[in-house]
Amino acid sequence: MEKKKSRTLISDFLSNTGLSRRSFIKTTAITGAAVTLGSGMMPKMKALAQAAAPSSNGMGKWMPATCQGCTSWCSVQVYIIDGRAVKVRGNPHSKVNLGASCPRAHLGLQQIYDPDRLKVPMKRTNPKKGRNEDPKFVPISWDEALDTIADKIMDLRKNDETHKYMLMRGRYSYMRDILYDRMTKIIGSPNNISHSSLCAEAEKFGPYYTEGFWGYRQYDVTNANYILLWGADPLSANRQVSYYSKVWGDAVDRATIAIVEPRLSATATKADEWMPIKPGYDGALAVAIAHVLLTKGLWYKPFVGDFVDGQNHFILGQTVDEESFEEIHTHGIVKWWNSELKDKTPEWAAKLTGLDVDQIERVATDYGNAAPHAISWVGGGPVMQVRGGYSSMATHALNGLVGAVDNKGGTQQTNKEYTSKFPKPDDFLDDIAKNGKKHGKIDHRGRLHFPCLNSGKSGGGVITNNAAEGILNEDPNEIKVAIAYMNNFSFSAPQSERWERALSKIPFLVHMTTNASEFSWFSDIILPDTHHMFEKWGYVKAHANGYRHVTLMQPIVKQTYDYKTDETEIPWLIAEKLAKRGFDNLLSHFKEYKDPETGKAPENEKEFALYSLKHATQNLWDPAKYKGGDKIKGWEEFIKIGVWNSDPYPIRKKWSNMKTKTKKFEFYSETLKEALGKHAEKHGVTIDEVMKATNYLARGEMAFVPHFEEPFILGDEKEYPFVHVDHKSRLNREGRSANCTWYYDFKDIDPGDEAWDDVAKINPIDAKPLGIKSGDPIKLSSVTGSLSCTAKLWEGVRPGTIAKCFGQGHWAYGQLASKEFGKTPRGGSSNDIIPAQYEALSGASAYYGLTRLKIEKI
Amino acid sequence: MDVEKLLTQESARQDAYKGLADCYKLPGEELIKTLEKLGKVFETLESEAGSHIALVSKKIKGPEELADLKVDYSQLFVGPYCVLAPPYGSVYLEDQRRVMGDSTMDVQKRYADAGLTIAEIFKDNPDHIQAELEFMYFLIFKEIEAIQEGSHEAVSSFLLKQRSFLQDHLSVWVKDFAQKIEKHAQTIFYKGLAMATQTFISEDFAEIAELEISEPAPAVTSG
Repeated sequence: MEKKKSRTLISDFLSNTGLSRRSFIKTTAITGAAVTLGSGMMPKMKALAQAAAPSSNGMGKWMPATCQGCTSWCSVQVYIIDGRAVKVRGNPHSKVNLGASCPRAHLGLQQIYDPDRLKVPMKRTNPKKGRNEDPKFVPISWDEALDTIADKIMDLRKNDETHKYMLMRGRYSYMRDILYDRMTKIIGSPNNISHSSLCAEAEKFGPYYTEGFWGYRQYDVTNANYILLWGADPLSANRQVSYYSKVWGDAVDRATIAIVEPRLSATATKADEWMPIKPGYDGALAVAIAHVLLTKGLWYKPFVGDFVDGQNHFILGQTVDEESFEEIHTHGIVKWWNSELKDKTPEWAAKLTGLDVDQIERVATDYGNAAPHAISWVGGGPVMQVRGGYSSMATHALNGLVGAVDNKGGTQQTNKEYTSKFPKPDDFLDDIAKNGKKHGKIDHRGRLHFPCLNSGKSGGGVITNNAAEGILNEDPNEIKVAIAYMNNFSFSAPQSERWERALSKIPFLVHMTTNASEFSWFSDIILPDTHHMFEKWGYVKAHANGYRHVTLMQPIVKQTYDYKTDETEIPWLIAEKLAKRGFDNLLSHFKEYKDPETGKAPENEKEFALYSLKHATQNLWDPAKYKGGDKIKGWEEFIKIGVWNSDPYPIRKKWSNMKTKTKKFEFYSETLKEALGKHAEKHGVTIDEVMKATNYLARGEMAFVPHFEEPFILGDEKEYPFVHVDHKSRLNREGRSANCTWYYDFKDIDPGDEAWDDVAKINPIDAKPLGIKSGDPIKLSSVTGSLSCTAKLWEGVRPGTIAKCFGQGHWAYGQLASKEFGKTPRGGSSNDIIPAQYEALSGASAYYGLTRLKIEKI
Repeated sequence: MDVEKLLTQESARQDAYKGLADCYKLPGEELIKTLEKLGKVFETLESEAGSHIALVSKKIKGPEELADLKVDYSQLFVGPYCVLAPPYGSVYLEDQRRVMGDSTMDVQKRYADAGLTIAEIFKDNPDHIQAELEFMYFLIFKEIEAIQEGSHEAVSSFLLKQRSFLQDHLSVWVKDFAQKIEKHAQTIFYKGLAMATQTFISEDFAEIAELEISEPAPAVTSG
């Protein structure tokens, strides 16, 4: 009724066209209503403001970017309209990914525009920490967040407790050293803990202790005649998925492709030979292949050399005189034969691996016949195992036998690139910092049972997952203040529950992240981070296709939320706060990162982020500093192209010039012998004792040659009849896809998986006797935990094993990631059933061939 | 005609949108005053929304209640985990539960057409409930200005903008939004605010929808 009246008022006004402006003023003046004449007044607003410039014409532009959805680190382009990202494609300027882009890059669009993103700094208001304690986060200002952080750091410094500060890093860019290294050092702590050993370190172990290269290899697939893959699934996961997906058709046309993998992976579906091996027995297959190559005389003589008399003395069961063989670019072929290979026949391997003897023979022979263009491609599966270090060596050593190392159609290292390091922090380390740094590390690297022999150095590598034990046991000391970024150890690390307890124990924990996660749950302050593809300055390096690129990250969208960049802006802001509290070493150090073009020191966090990037990449874009690769005319051109490419890979330059002790490709690893020797000496023990402490079976000389070791698999076979096979998805953006609808919509692009479900793949032969059908809800249990998911009967998994993809099972991520937030995860997290075990020589967490499972219907 | 009544009426509408917009900020001390004012405005408008506000405003007395409100506000509208009642139009108007969709761009364009943009300090998406409510406030402010100037064309223009904005955006998603708040809010306040918001917007839209407004000539300035 009353409403009608109000409508009438405005209707009357609109219909009363006779009411002139003049008479209106008169009327209103008489009535005394407050009148402000003249248009153009702006009301007081908070969310809106007067626009300075007219809006765009709606036309978009392709802007360069970088995808860090996995560690391929492809250069991409994003189509931006009105400050909004709408589509993605590969950057055609990259010689590494050649304009190609795998599905992950597109998921970036759903991540940046996820309504559940962390939008403002927040603080915990519930002081109790635990899985069942809602942190009750509330928004706070950046000022409040940074003040609190600076106060906590200053408390440590005042009490000479800087070693109780810890920095944990997950996904990083190469701006990492600012936060990870410089800030940690200048504060004064030894505890910067990377995620790396959760990723791949065992995969680098084999290449390092044979050819002296601690890093990911690139594989020249378009010139290869044979590609033998070990648990690697390049059409799905790490690394260079875009590149390999683009050229795989050519590779398939040209080469024979064999894949060793208990599960029919995406790459296996395109292979000529699928070898569904028993998990953990890859080393046995590798040495049997080596045996065939040698007994059949198929090794590549221009690389390895030959018997002096030209006859093949590699005869089953017979030892060979070392003097009878003249090696060229390798070292220890005869020692390897005598100690490991001479009896390792395909028949022997067939029994262990569960593979067909003819297939082993055929693959080995065809592989050898393809030499030297015959790749042996080591993935994570066979090596991220408790005794995977020697499988890593054995599988990679095949490249040495066929001369594929550093060769066309073979395996290659990295091309030269010319980025620069950041200024050294040494002058800014005061006594407090120097003393703090002397303390032992929280992850126990370098202890007797954790050699972590990164690049030959005892304790040279990280043992990420063990940091949880260090924190829990206060060994070597407690951790009082910790900052972490873009990591989620309480989900992504095996036996994650340990991290829940460890993080609960840290009195002050800060997490920088784009999405609050299971890690944030235990944090005191959470800081909104930039999305790497659209919102930050930075760079990463990657290599494939015989090139290396340096690809830029840039802020290319209009900023929406109140986020800041983890590796640059936030440390700068913390440095400012510390300086206000009388400790200005960090800020003074950061002021050394000058703009190479103007020589100007940064004055705020934005300038710091930009200048540090310009500093690091100056040799690539400044013609005066040119050292090689693409010739770029200046910074403006660099940010327009978004990527620099190296010169092509120079093959065979490393033959007899490897970074091993002998400079040769070592079948008998003098390099490992020395590294183990130093580690043993450090602890006053023998190498055999190191072997024992690290759960290896090798003794004596066997510790220095690639060899087969019985796998270390947890769980009694009777109670836990199946072996677990973990694998990664084509859609996992570093495990950060779980709140994207496309992840679930397209989950069935992972062979055997189902859209909008999380399935454990069971061979029908195994499922039938248990009365399990596809679609049945099931529980998988190991000796350390259990998860719930759905059964899927599938012939693409070896009988006796159960394959389950990593990625789902979040209990605290976002709306989609859980079935019911905080209560019921969507699917199951593999890390709930994977025990915390290690390949201790490299420090890698073990994921594969590690645990037995039982299945129960629920 | 009774211009004074019209101005009172439209000022109240303006203040209602402004008051509601302010209620969707992180709650602080000023909320108490905002609610007081909002109560009066709804009284002037004789809106059903008034009863919802009256019911809840008494519950907020001091810091203790505000602390609870902050937690509730965060979980409903900010996160950091599962934003229980996402305050963004696109989440309701489009599928995939994302922000910055095509509907958001349409909102942004309407702001731009009115000479507006998202404020630098706001740091959120254009179709955030607070921004959309504030946009209605702005359009009514401009409408009032035009009434005062006696510019029928401008009044019509701003009324049409209000109508189409409510029709295409705010009134479409406010119902689902309010339902989510009612379902998930831990405090009476946000349940009441949800009811008040939905009630007022549907009342206001019903009224404005029935108005006969002639299309203004294309050259009318947009403010």
